[in-house]
Amino acid sequence: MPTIQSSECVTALLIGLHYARRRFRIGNFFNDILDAVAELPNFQPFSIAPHELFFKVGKIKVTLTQNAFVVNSALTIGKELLARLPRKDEKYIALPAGLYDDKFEVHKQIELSNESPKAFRRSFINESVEIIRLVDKIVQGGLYPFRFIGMVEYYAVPLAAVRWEILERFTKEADIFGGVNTEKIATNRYYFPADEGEHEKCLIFKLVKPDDHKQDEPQVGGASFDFQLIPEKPKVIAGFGGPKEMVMSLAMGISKIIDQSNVMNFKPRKQ
Amino acid sequence: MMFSSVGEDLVSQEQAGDRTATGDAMSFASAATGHLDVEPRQGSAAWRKAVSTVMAATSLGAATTPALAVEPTHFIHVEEDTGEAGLSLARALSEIADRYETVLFSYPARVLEIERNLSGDPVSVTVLVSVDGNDTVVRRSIRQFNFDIKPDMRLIVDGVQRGGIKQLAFRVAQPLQLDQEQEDLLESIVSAFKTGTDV
Repeated sequence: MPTIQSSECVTALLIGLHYARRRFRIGNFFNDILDAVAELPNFQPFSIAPHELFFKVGKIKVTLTQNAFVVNSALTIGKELLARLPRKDEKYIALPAGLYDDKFEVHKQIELSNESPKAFRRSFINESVEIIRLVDKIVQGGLYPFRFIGMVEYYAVPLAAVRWEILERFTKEADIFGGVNTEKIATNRYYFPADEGEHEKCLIFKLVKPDDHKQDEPQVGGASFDFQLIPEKPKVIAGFGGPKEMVMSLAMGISKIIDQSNVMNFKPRKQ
Repeated sequence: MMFSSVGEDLVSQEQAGDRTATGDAMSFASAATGHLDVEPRQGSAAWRKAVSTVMAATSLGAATTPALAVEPTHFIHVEEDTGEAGLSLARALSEIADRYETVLFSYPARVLEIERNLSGDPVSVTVLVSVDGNDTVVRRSIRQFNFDIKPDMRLIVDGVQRGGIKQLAFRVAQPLQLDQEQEDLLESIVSAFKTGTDV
């Protein structure tokens, strides 16, 4: 079986748009938003309150609060990744706990996607663009200016199939004789100053270690990349060039940084 | 509020004490200082202060963090996806968005005056709208503006129809690509309205 590429290991995506200050008035539009999406396939409301609207439509979940507008994908495992993840039996697969935010409901069942990770990413981006465009139209005068916008990618790394260099280096560097480093999550934050005519950027990289001191078999590691664009002054959607341009700038920015970082470099594991 | 694309969830976790020793600097600082609304910009003095607060707090909190706090892996029940739900969602959302609001016209505008109450809070805004060369003044409640209004701010006024209701909607204009002559003309119109003289 050939070595899996990191792009095949994406399991979830999230986009977050954060207002410059609390906007209590957003609640006035919750009913209109619900009316607009209620008849779409797979619609399911989770929370309708003055301070929060949280619903699922199709495969995305949408959360609107006074602080932020968040769209997240379903937890999705592509076929390539599924073939390499540890399984308890046919019906259960292992994923790195502590990697996913609670919007992903890891305690519930997940769906296996027939889509390739590339198609999964493309549909999530398209769906996010359209839901942002719709909400922007429903909110009178458009959505409020954002202090920053961000996109998060969540990766599950099948350590039985690949050697993950950064995890190995981290484990080695943190080694103390006679002791096992049992810390499960390491977080690094990176700041990128604004280039000419561009926004400041920020990346939060989280590495989730498996509990390999308890079991000999390699398990599953996790990585999340939270990439943010921070304009000098709060910007409305039009300031980013529209919903599509805004989301694409996040999607392209995060891909570029991950590619350049070499953090997701895998090597084949010797059998 | 924390500095994460995910939103508030981690803030609530941190407020509940569920944080790691190596964890989230900004959110830890926010939770520690209680200033959940304030987000210091990275690199600023406030940011450096927040980080030093975190480091102090972390050194105090680390001793109470259990060594094996996090479950390593999580076994999840999986089911084959039928693939039906997500197929046409983007298209359906796009059709709804197109249908939801019809923009009948758009005109450039400029903020003339911001009326304030005794406390100094903005109450209403007077806007100069330029309709095909004819200028008109409209006054609207501050509630109609979703952004911070400033004097002389350039806006776009859209005439929109939602359902059967027609109304004006305001948005921030991107910088106009005006040549010097157009720029001077706009300036003179605005100043004429301010002083009450003819152009």
